[in-house]
Order: sequence, then C-alpha cells, then structure tokens
Amino acid sequence: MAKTLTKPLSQLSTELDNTRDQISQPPLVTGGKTFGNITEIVARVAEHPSAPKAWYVAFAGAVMLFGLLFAMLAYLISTGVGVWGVNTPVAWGFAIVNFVFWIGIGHAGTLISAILYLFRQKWRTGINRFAEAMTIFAVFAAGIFPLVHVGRVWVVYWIFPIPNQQQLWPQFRSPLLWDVFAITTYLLTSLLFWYMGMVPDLATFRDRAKTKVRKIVYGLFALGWRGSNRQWIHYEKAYLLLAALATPLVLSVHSVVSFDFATSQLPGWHTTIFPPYFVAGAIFGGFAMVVFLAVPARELFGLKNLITLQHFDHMNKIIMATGMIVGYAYAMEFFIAWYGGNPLETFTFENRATGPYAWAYWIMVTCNVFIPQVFWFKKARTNLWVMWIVSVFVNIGMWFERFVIVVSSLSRDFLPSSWDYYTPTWVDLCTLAGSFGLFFFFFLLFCRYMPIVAIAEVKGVLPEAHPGHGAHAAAEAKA
Amino acid sequence: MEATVSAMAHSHGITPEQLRKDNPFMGELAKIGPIALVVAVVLFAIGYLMSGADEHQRFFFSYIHNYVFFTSISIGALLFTLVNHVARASWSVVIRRIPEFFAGSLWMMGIAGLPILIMVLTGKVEVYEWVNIGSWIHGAEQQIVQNKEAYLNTTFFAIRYFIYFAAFFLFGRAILLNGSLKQDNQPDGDEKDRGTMRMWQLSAPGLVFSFLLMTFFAIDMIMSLDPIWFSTMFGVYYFAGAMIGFFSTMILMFKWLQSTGRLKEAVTVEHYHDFGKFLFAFVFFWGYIAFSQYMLIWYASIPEETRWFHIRQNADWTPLSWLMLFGHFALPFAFFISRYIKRHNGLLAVGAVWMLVLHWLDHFYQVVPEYQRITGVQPGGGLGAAFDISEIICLLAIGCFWFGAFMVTAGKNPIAPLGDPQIAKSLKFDNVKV
Repeated sequence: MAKTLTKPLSQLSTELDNTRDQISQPPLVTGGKTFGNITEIVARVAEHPSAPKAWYVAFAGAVMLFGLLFAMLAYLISTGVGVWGVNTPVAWGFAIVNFVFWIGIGHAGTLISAILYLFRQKWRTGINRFAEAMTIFAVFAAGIFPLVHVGRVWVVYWIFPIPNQQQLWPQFRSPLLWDVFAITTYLLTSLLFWYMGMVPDLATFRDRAKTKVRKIVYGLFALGWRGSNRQWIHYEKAYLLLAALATPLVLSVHSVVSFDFATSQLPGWHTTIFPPYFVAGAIFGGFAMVVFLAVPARELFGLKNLITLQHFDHMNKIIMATGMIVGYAYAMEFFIAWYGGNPLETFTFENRATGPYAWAYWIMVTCNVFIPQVFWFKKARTNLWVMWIVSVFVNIGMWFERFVIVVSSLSRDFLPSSWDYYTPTWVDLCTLAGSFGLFFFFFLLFCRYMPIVAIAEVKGVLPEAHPGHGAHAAAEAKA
Repeated sequence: MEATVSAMAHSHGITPEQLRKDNPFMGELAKIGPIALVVAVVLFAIGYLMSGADEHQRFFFSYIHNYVFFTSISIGALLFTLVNHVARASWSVVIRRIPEFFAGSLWMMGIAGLPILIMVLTGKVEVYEWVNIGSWIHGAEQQIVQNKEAYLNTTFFAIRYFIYFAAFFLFGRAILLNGSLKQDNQPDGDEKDRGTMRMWQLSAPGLVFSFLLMTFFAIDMIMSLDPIWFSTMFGVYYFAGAMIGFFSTMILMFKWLQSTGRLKEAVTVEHYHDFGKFLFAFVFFWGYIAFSQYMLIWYASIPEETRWFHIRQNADWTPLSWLMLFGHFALPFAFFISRYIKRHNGLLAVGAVWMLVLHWLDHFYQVVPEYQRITGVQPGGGLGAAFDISEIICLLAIGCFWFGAFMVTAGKNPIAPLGDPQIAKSLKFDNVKV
C-alpha cells in the first residue's frame, strides 16, 4: 500500500490500484471488449459442445454427493430421527446448523442484485447472475433440513394454513412458522428476480441457437423477448421495483431465522442484536461463497475480462466489513453477558470460550474475525489464491458460528443433570456432505446451460453504452 | 416537471471554476458562531440557576437528553464522512464539507458534556444511580450493580469520556477536516491525490473505531441511566437515530445556505434526492432495529429487560410509545417513499423538520422516563406534565453551542471542498444518468 503512494499517478492508473482507479473510473470490463465480444464470451460457455474437463470431474463428484443425500434422507425417513446425533438437551443438532448455514449462503445473491442495484454499484453486473443462482440453490439445500427434522415429513404440509379434517391450525406465535413464510417469500422473489433478469440473455441464446431443441427450450423461457424499446422500458421498471421489494427481504429472512433463537429465553440465544448480526453474518458467508465459486469459474470459463480483480477487490472489502460487523456482535454479546449480570448468561459465554465446545468457538472466531483481517492489504484482496483460501475459512467459520450458537447453548441448559455432549453421527456428516452435492449439482448445471454472466447488464456498464460517450462527449469537450 | 427543469439546468453540472464563484463561503454568517457560543453559556447559566429546587436533578435529565441528541447528529456526520471515504464516493464530494465541519466540531461536544462529567465525578446529583451504589440503589439491585462496578465507576467513565472525544478529534478534526481543508488551495497533482488516498486509507480503521466508540458512548450516556437494563442492540439503535438526525440536518442546512445565496448552482435537486433516499433508508432501518429490540424483549419477557419498556408504554408515557411507532416510523416511511417528495425541496424540508422533532422525542423517550423511575414521581397529568421548562432551555443552550461550534469551525473556510480531486466529477452528479 505504501508503495503505491510513492508512485506518480500516471503510472498508477495503469496498474490495478483501486484507490487511484476510482478517480479515473477504471473500466469494469477489461481487454477492450466490445458488445459483440461480451455476448461471445458468455454464450460460448453454453454453446460449446463440451465443457472443460474440470467441469465433468466436479459434476461427477456433485452427482455422487447428491446421491448420498438421497440415500441419507431415505435412511432417515425410513428409520427415524434417531439416526442423527440429536439428544436431550441438544434437540437441534446438525439439521438446524445446516439450515441456517445454507440460508446464510443464499443472502449474497439478493444483496448483490437488489441492494447494490439500488446503490448504483455497477460492478455488481459481472457477478450478480451466478450469485443469484447460488442463492436459489442454497435455499433449496436449506429447505430440506427443517422439512426432514419435523419427523413425519409426509405431513409437512401442515405447516401451511390449509384447512384440514383434523382442524389443525399452525401456531402463528411461533417464529418457526414465520420462517415458513419468510423463506418461501424469499425463494419466490429471488427466483423471479433471477429469472426476470435472465430473460434478455435467454433471448440472446435463443437467437444464437443452432439446434431445434435449443431453439425451442430457450425460446420458451425467453417469453417472446424481442428487445424492443418498449420492452426494455417495462423491463427496467419491473427490475427496479423488484429490487426495491427484495431489499427488505434481505433483512427480513435472516432476521426471522434469528428470531427462531432470539425469542427464546435460552442464554446465548436470547439477545437483541441477533437480527442485524445474523443478516451481516449471512452476507459475510454468502460473499465468501461467491468468491469461492467465482475464482475457479472465471478461470474455467474464460471470464477474466468480465469478472476482474477489481470485482474481487470490492467483494473482499465487503467480506472484511461484514466480518467485522459479526466481530462487533460477538464482542457486544460478550460484553453484555457480563454487563447484564445474569449469571446464566455469563456462564454460557464463559462456557463457549472455555467449555467442552471451546474448540468450535475458537475455530469460529479465528475464521470469521481474525483471518479476514488479511484483507486490509490490497495484495491479499487481489490475490486469487489468498482470497480463495480465506473464502474457504470464512465458510467454515460461518458454519461453526451456527454450530456454536445451536449446540453450545443447548448442551448446557438450566438443569445440570440434563447436560450432555452432542456428537454428530455418520448420517449427520453424510447429510451435510450431501447438501453440498445438491448445491453443486444445480450450480454446475446452471454454469453449463444458462447465461452465467448478465450479458445485457454488463454491456450497460461499458462506456459506449452511455450517451456521454463518443461524438457527443467529444463535442462537449470542445465546447 | 421539476425533474425536467433540473435536468435542463444541471444536466452538465458546473465546473470547479464556476463553483468558486458560487459563493462558497460563510462570509458574514460566520459571525453567528461566537455569538451562539456566548448565548449557549448564558442560557446554560439561566437554566442551571433556575433549577436549584431539586438539586438540579430534573435539569440534568433535560441536559443529557439534549446533549445526546445534538451529539448524535455530529456523530452521524463523522460516520457519513468516513464511509464516503471508504467507499471512494464521488457524488458526495460537493456536499461533504458540511458533514466535515460537523465531524470536525464533534470534539467540542466534549466541552458541552463537561457539566455531565462534573456531575458524575462530584456524585451529588442522583442521575446515574451507579455513581453512588451504596445509597442510591437498594435491595437486590444493589448487588447486581455492584457486580458491574468494574465498568460503571466514575473514574473509568471519565477516562472513556476523554477517549471518545480525543478519538473524535483525531478522526473528525485532525484527519478528515484538516486533510480536506489542506486540499482547498493546493495545486492539482500527486501531493493532493496523496492527501485523498491518506484520508481513504485512514477512514477504514476510523470507521471501525468510531462505531465502537459511539456504541460505548450511547451505553454510558443513555443505557446506564438504568444500571440494571441492558440490550446488545443499543449501540445500533443509537446509530440508526443518529443517521436520521444527520440527514435531516443536512437537508435543512443546505436549504438554509442556499436561501442565503450560497452554493446555489453546485447543490442541486439530485443531492436533495439522495439525502431523501438516505433518510428514507434510515427511517426503515430505525424501524427495523427498534422493532427487533422491542419484539425480542417483549417476546422473551424477562423482567430485567422488560422493565425499560414497561415504564415507557404505561401510564403517561403510552402516547409517546405510539408516537414512536407511527410518527418515527410508519408515517415518514409512507411519506419519504415518494420520489416526488424527495425531489421537492419544500416537502422534503417539512419531512426533515418532522424527523428532527421525532428524533429529539426519541431521545426524550430514552432518557426522561428514567427520571420518573428514580424519583418515583408520577407526572400524573399526562405526557405534558413529564415535560419541564428545562427541556426547552437545554434544547436552546446545547443547540446554540452545537451550532456555534459548527460555525466557528467553518469560519473563513470554504463550505465546499473546492480542491478535492474528485470535485469536477462530483459537480456532474445526476441521479437520472447513473
């Protein structure tokens, strides 16, 4: 950092230096690509008769893990929840940990597509499409866990307020039920947002399609998009409105998830900062997953000019910032646990840091608070290996955060005689691994057959797309 | 129609040279500064002397209420300036000097708070009960507060107080304001750009520290008025309110400056629109935080947590609680959602005044019910009886001091960062194009 300061600015702007670049507005698409090039780069991924070798290897792995998930779920449903490690008092084990973890992963997509859109952050265009896709697949993965955890999965529709013979009616005072609505709303909105944003690009795929099948399938999903001026006006208006509607969802989903814990009276669960703390943690974990996927994806599919180091620089800054918000919440929880003077609360936090699950607590703190601090350095923020490794650690850390919250609090409840140590069984571990299989299965299919970068939107951030560019700007400069 | 007019008038913005001719100085107005400071001291003396009957107890509650209110606006300004540097924002450059003056004068609020510090250190007036645990707190509560003595003691309170304002001086005045002022007459070039980069780099740690300090400032000044009660959300709650106060102030400040013929070309409807958007966003954020804090405490219903809300939603205070829900959240949410209003100078200003009043009442709601709890005095006559004339005197006294500090800091300096490397780009800012 100090080095760049001593250099003259004319040299700096040629390097990848964010500080200087912001004054001179660096291009978001590098390599002097034109509109046509961008279409070519993105469409090539889906049109090429074969995918890169690494894709097949990854897909084979994903299919196997996905199969494992099915096997585990079949075993669970046919045998009962007893195959898991849950016990009394730790009745919420891996299932809820995994659920919150995956819901968290699903946050970056909507943040990038909705909030960054409202903030006019043009760099979002390079990464929003697959972050949104990731969101949807992560919500799929998350949804499985509460469904199977209810025990009798075949009557799971009872959670919806559907009139039925037994006159059963959901308990609306339970945050778990709020979750049902928060998450289905989130899934529907994210799906709609993702799909609507993709319509112009699907039309591009349709127009370029060589085979009949492709023409029909892409044509069907392109909804008759012709790219007329009138269509674009409607599209842009709808997109803005959806972004505005999706923004509160980014806050609401994980806030409602946090209510599952925070409305209780359990020490370690009941604390008022939980809603924003969970939201920040979700964005933190979600962005880490975006980086984790984007680094190999841009290499494999030749997207280096569309997803540049500058994009990563921004994402890594967000990771560091949200990581520190999470750190702030850890610190406030600890401080208030002492300040509040409630002996049960104080014990819970002492127990977290020094008790039987101290190892999990320190993994969490190390991965979430300490390791992201390397992003203070620009070298780390723009080094693909460093950021990829950090993103792995952050994902581990965020998984352990949920583990610490769920397990460490429950395992030491109010009655010492009921204390127990929770250990996951092989079924728990395989189910977790299987959920990754589900996620990657869909994600890899998406990478192969869908427009993985928002072609139309990336074109929109090229300088050529602006009225001030070219002849007009030259005339202005003369005047 | 207004949008079209502004687009025509400002679609290309003005140049930095034109900005220098756009009356970017306080000029005659700067004289208000010292006068306001003197008036503040006189008003304080009057208020203090008038309130001798109860050992100034009620007066100090009014004083704390107004003190945290005005300080929150300046803290909002500091955080706004820091985050704009961190984000390398260019749109905000032309309006950044006003928050810089507030951030640069924040340390002076450390002087305005000295009566509170002295009151705590002398330990004669029962305001913060933890100052004298032995005789001001009774029964089981005594032991609970005793356990917090490592934090809640007068010496550490004073040390923290000093740290807050030393840090606010460092970030607000020494780094941000001075760094920006230095660029005003500096020739373009590396030296000037290095100044900007230095501010960018220091703003990241500045933001982290300022947020932490703000949290503990809010805990010390407001939360510890009830030494039993606690909420991990409290710092965030104070932050949400601070940003509402800050953006409202910005709207009114620029409206006032422009009405006196200053920055008439440089600051456009686009900037007001963005202040309006931020205000809308923070109204929403405040609602989210206030709801989360309230709902979680209500739902779990643990006595040491509900006690804070219990006072505030019963008897005389009930209407104020409802006013917070509807006046501080629901109504402004519906009001500021409109693009028309955000781009209508007059309506936006009405909204800003409303939000400032509600933000002031929010702090009233946080501080003054504790007076009732401590003294056991039931105002009895509805919410009106909870008010005291000292509220108004302190509002004027601290308001004058806060505004005087701002004007003295502004002094002869330009009221827009004339020499910022991004000023030309900032002057072209237009919501429609981006």
